[in-house]
Amino acid sequence: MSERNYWKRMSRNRLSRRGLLRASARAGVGAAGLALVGCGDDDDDGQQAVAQAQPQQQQQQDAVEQQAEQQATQQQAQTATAEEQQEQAAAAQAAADDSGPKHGGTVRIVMSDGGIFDPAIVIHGGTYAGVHQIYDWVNYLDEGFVITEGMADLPEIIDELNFVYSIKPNVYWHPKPPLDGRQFTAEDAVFGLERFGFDNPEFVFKDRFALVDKFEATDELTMHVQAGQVFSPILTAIAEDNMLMVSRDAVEAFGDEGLSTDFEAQIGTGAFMGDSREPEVELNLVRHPNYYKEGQPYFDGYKGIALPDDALRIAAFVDGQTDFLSYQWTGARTDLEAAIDEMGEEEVTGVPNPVTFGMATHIHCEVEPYTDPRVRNAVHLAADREQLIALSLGGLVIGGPIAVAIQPYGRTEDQLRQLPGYRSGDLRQEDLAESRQLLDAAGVDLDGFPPLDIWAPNATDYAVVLQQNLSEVGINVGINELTTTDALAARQNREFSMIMLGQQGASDPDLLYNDLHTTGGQNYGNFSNPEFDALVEKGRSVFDVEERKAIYDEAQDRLLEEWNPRLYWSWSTVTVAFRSYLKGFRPTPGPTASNAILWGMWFDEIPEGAQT
Amino acid sequence: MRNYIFRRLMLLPITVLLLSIFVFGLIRLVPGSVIDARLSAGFPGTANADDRAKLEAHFGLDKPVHIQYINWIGQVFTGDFGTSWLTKEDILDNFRRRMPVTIELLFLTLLIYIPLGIGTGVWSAVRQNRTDDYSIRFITILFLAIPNFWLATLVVVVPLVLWSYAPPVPYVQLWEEPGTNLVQMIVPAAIAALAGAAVLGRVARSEMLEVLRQDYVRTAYAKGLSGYVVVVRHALRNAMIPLITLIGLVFANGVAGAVIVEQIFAIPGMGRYLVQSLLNNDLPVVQVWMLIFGAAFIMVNLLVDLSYGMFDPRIRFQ
Repeated sequence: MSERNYWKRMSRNRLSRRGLLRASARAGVGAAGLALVGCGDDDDDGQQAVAQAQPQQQQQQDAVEQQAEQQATQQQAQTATAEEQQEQAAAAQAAADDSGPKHGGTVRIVMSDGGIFDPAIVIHGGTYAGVHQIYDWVNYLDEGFVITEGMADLPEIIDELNFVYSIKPNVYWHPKPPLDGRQFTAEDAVFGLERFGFDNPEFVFKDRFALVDKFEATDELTMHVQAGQVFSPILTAIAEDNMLMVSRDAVEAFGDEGLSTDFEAQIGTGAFMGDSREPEVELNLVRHPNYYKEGQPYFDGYKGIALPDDALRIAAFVDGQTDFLSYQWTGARTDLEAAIDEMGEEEVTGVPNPVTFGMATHIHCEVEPYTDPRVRNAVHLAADREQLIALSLGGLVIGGPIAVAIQPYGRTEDQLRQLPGYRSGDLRQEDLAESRQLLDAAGVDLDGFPPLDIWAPNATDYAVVLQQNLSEVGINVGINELTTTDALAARQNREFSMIMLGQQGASDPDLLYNDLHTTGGQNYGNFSNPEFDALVEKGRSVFDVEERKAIYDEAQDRLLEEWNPRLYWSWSTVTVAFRSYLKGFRPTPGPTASNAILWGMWFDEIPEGAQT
Repeated sequence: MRNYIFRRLMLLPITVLLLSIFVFGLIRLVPGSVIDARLSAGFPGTANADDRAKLEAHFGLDKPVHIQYINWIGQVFTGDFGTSWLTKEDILDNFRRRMPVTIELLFLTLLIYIPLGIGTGVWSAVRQNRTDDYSIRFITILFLAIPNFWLATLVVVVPLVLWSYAPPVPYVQLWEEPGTNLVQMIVPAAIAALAGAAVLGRVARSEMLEVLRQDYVRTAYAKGLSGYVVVVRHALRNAMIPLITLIGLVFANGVAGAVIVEQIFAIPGMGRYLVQSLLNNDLPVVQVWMLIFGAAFIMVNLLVDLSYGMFDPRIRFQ
């Protein structure tokens, strides 16, 4: 396997026990990174979408099913080299079990207890401790961000504006008052989705369905979604991680405040239901007896344990007090490596889990000399991604405009390494030569570049590397260090020339619209190109995966070859680590193990302390 | 003495009021805002001025700072500490739940701190310039030099590496499982106590050395009193005044230590509450936290001042 292979490199990156002591600092930086990255935007519902409704009469109901199938197939083909596939197969094999699922035991998982349970309110990842187990989705995103049937079948696409969801007849609320285990209906689904848009200042997803004209229950088990304009990501939006269904009955009984903070008010349709909670200590859930997935969940219970410190988290995992090791931040698998050191590889299973946040340098396209695409291209060609991500928290995936996790759209590391600007060795020298030629052609003053704004101190090292990279082509650029607040404000107010910050990904390639369309909410660099606008407008009006892929391939190619409004470096992924006696794990898009889909997991052998 | 106590107590509200202004103003200088954090959690690119204004109004941040302060302090003096911006839980309820945990930690810290500090100091003074004196002095300097967050991490890591042992998790209340609770609390308490005990030991040693050279100590020995009686009943009592001052400071040190060890050992006390609130710009919690501990620190200092008279009858309060 090539040393460039990310996962192989990571698996060889064994750390000494000293790594344990570094883990806290890294986690701190990581958390800060997430906070900053989290200031990104992955949707665009607030904009005035100008998508042209291009008739797609041939769209049939099976488009979504085909989409799922195609995505899954293409993901495998495109994301993995043969050796990667071997590794993934090994991980899958480790997580599989010949003897089939077994019932019993309480899974013990590290959580961060944010104290807020309302899916419409999210403050940070910890907000969701346990919530994903209590509530459930109409549809959800499975590995590779593939839309998968949940409490409803995959939607029937009537036309580009109308979608019909059939709710499964065997979905029931938890047997607790006021729901008392009644059936989940289309009215419930309508309320659950509409509630995200209610006028509550704390509801952060209220623009998510701005392009939806109405959610309507046409009968007890049928929900009709009517969009105001053609918007293909709508099905993904409904299936996203946050779109958990709460009930009108619970809201009326407990109020919004109660639903937000009162553990007793957490009554969902999920695999587990609330039992007890000690704030910031533990959260106990028990099996939902009428869960709609037959025979599932296999665990009798769920115990979330709040362990804020890395060292104690690893210690509790090694000691057998927890079954999951939380997530391994941005590929820095320090906790996992430390655990493997102590326990041996057979005892621990680490499985990659896709997430979509990354790092990029925003270039302001209306600030000289970056108004000239040749200058932006020259900067793109000069940047050494290898060097930049070597400074990261243990290795990221070199990335392009769309996150690699969003398949089949995101470019893999190996694909990108073939492209100018991402190449190394002699080919990098060619890129540098081309960069110099572009700068000559543009006729810019190489000493007259405005300073590079950076989020200090976290991005200082990156800035120094980029500064050195640019000096290789003769560009002399200073560094302007900003506090986190100032950096965010500069980006938000478009008061920068080139700024190094994180960027939030999304579950759909339509993120490019929001990032770079002339009217895009996160188009911080005021990039405006009619050809690009037309591409991403078309992308959001097409449902067919192949057709969409062609559109976004072209958009990405031209972004990297011609337009370069951002300097893309990396996208992240995480590893979810757990004891090898746990079987049936499936990666779930999202950053935390506490969000993991647990309903299909089981104990091959129930460990001491997990018996129920 | 009553007048003295009365005057000190009369000064308490004024001090707390000044402290509240200081805390309220200072915390607003910290970079970052809960509004930005909330908007970032959703879609900041699409969040508009209206969203921001609604959230600011929701948190009461749309008013001038002095009005915000007056509203807040007015609520506090009527016993309404408000709710957390992060968890929306009642702050007072949170304090009620967490305070016993931190008090237990502080109590255990004192249990270790005082005997260890004074004991090693006295022993070191009595055994001046002998091997055990040198050893104690070396160890105290060592514990002074080691940061307690590093020590706490080491205490978790070393048993893990050597014996694959971890402290029991999650935290259990003292009245639920006393044995498990003590196992969980004793190590953090010891870590919080060690650095302070090292200081106390060194001060106790120097004070004792000075007292042991006094004529009345020599007289006591000459009268045939046992070494124990001379050291504990005559010498130590006269060395106690500076030590009591130092012990009074353990409250502040203990709270500072609790902030660290509670975070590392996952103890749901006041220290962890502060860390969590600071990290999330949960200003109402931080303000009340600082105010309460500021007031408590003032009270502890008053008690320390009053206790001087117990050890030295010559001290009069005017």
